[in-house]
Amino acid sequence: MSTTRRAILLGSAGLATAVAIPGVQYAAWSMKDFTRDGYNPGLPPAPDGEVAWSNWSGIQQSTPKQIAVPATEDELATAITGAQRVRPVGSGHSFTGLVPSEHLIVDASRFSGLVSSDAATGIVTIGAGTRIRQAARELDAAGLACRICRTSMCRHWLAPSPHQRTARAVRCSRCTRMSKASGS
Amino acid sequence: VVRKFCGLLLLASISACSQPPAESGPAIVVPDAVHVSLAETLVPADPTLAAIYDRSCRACHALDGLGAPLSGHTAAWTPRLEERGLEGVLASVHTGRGAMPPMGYCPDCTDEDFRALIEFMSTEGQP
Repeated sequence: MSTTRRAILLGSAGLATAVAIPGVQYAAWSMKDFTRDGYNPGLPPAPDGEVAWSNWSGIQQSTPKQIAVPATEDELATAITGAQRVRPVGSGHSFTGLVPSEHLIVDASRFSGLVSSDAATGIVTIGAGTRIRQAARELDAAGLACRICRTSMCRHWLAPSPHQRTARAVRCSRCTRMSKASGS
Repeated sequence: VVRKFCGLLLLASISACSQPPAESGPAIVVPDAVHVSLAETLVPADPTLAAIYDRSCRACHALDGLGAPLSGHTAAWTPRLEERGLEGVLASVHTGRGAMPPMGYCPDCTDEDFRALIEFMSTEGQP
């Protein structure tokens, strides 16, 4: 059987078509705009006497009368006294509608940081609004967490085990090895 | 005719496959080891600002690999500030950007606080 010029040309055409069809489909797909009409992830406009709140994705938005950010328990008590519906807010990365309120949203961010720690029992008290990385960083400083390296990223880990308490004193790369060696 | 048809098909397939990915945001400037370790330790000198930075900004702007420009790594901040200006970056804090929610975890911050924090984070860190 001999290969004719015609067969080669037809074969090439077939191959080119096989590559071009998914290529064109991919290009058409990636040029599409999948954003719904009127979508705006930013803060919604708030009428007079109200403030705007939005979660990270913009799916949940509301305009409560006030977003209280108390720094002390007294301020918190004052803020919620007489309030109709109080909703607490964390970091705004959830997708469910737990935060939106027409009345009062309370943000506990200012109750942050390590309040007390006991290295002997491994029991610590931290503010209710402390975000996990701040908690890990401050616990690391108190000798109750370990820093390890993963690829190029340094992370603080909450793990008050005796191995890791020892490990916090050593450098990041050694800490990784020690964590592996100790099986934690 | 067959040759022309083949040529056109090949051209179409090549151009479809070589489409560059859509650009979004400024180019990522990868920090070196010095900036990565600097970012972990830098804190604003002002205690009020330092408290806000600790609870709201530090979780992302002090850790490499999360997409946020690092504190003290001016090379990563300059393209953003040149593209949007300080007020544009402030607007990004208001509306949220990337993983940062609107108001950057600090609903009680004033625009002055945000400007001071942006200035602190975009200033080249000194070891």
